[in-house]
Amino acid sequence: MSVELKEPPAIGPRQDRLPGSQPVGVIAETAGPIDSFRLYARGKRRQLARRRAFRGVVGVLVLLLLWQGMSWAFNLELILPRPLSVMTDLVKTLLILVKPWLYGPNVYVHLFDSFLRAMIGFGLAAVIGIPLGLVLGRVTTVREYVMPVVRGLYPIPGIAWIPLAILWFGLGNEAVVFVVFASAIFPMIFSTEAGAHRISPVVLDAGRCFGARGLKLLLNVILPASVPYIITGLRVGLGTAWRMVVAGEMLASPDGIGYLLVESRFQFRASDLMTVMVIVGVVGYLTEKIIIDTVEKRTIEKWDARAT
Amino acid sequence: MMPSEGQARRGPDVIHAAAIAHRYEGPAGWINSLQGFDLRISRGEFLCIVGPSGCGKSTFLKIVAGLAQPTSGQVLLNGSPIKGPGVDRGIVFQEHALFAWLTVIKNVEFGLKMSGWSKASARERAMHVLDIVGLAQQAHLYPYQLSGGMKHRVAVARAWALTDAALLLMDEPFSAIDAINRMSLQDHLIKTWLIEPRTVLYVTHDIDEAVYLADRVAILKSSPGRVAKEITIPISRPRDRNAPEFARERARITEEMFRLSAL
Repeated sequence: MSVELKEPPAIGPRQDRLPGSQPVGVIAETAGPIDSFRLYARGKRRQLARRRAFRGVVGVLVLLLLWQGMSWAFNLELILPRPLSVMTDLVKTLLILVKPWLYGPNVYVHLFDSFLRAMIGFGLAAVIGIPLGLVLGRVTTVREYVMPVVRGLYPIPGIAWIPLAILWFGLGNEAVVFVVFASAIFPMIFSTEAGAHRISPVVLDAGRCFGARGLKLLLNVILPASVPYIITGLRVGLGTAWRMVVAGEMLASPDGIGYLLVESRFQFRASDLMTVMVIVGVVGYLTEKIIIDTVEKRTIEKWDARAT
Repeated sequence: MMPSEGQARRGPDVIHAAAIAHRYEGPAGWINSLQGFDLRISRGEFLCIVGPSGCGKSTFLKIVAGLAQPTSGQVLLNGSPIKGPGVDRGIVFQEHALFAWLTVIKNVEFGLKMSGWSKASARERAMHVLDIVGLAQQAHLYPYQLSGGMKHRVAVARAWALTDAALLLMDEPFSAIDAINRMSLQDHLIKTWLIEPRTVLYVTHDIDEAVYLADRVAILKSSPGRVAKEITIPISRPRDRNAPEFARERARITEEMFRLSAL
């Protein structure tokens, strides 16, 4: 695991290209150390990333070992299958080799249905929650009128919306998307509101003095200044969306991952159940990693070395 | 021949503040930060306001910037009363207050774009100003990649870029910088000012800085803050910090400040 890490390179003028710019030719001496440092920092970052991956894998392996130990100890294959048989089931499910397959269309169709519902609910929550949070954070009048309503709705669990959603939309996509939306919007509102509320006053003053007011101020100063908080909101909101899509589908949908879970319980197939749970976990983790890390790379990691 | 103090006018008044009062509720009751505050700044003048901490000098600058309102009295900017902040004044804050999410050049373009400049002309103007302050090579870096001194130069450039600004306001812009770097920033500032003359209102508590930069120095007396004395600095530019006349002017202001605080 050891990675050789070079010392920061010597300081001096050098030919290079700065991110997001045309080649600037020979950078003055003042830019040299900054640029060299960036190379050094990149090596260091990669080393840390490798260490993180290694430790992450070890953590998962330890969990699997514990699970294996439990299933040996209890020896109840029917309700606590061994990790190895779940892994075999998982591979077979992913390769669409499970016979007989008791759940209609193959796993990818279900997964895609769930993914779409989660993303639509999450997207709606972001599109409404983030602007609302920005306004709540900056406009006292709106905050005083609306915040009690938001705070009052927040403790109602997403799952409690399902019966009402079924009455309104019937069983299916709309009901599930609605409960995803109704749950994912809160972390985004709260985080964005906190971020907008905590912007340094001098940065706002700078924005106003340089001609930004109203919507311009919101878009060009308040929004970017709140991004670190917004990203936290997106991260939590995405996790919430993913959890709620499964919960919603268990009660209100004839397809999707949640339906797979309920149906495998009806079929008394614990191995299928756990396979689906593993899929939910892995896909949720990957979705969050891909979406949120991309947002992070394009924003705060670019603006601020401390964020990396 | 030295011009009589406070009379070295070079043009019409850019700023005319008459009988300004400002009070606010502090933790221990109402505070009169300004009272009977009179000041004129004429076009092309570099005016420094000096005074002890808490004399209201930053408050006055905020009023001129439109970020605070006087309790009574009025500040006229080119003859009309100030209504809120705007790009007809450029400002440099004590903390550089750059936009962390914008590159250096985009920070400098910000005010221009907000006031409706086209992309191309804003870029051209910003590049020109960055060239003057010596940061053209750093145009595409983000603020976190710059040293403290460079950040302050970007902040100066951002204000300087506003061609429509009748006045540049600077609120102790270099006070958090070490002495050596501060001198180099002052040199940069004066060089910029000589290349592209502007009207400047510069707040500081550093007497050396005031003598080095200013055409005229307004000395403030505290609680409540008001202009107690205006002194013209008759030294030609570029100024030498070690020249005898520099020491003489510094002594004059120091003496005046001690006399005022003793009263």
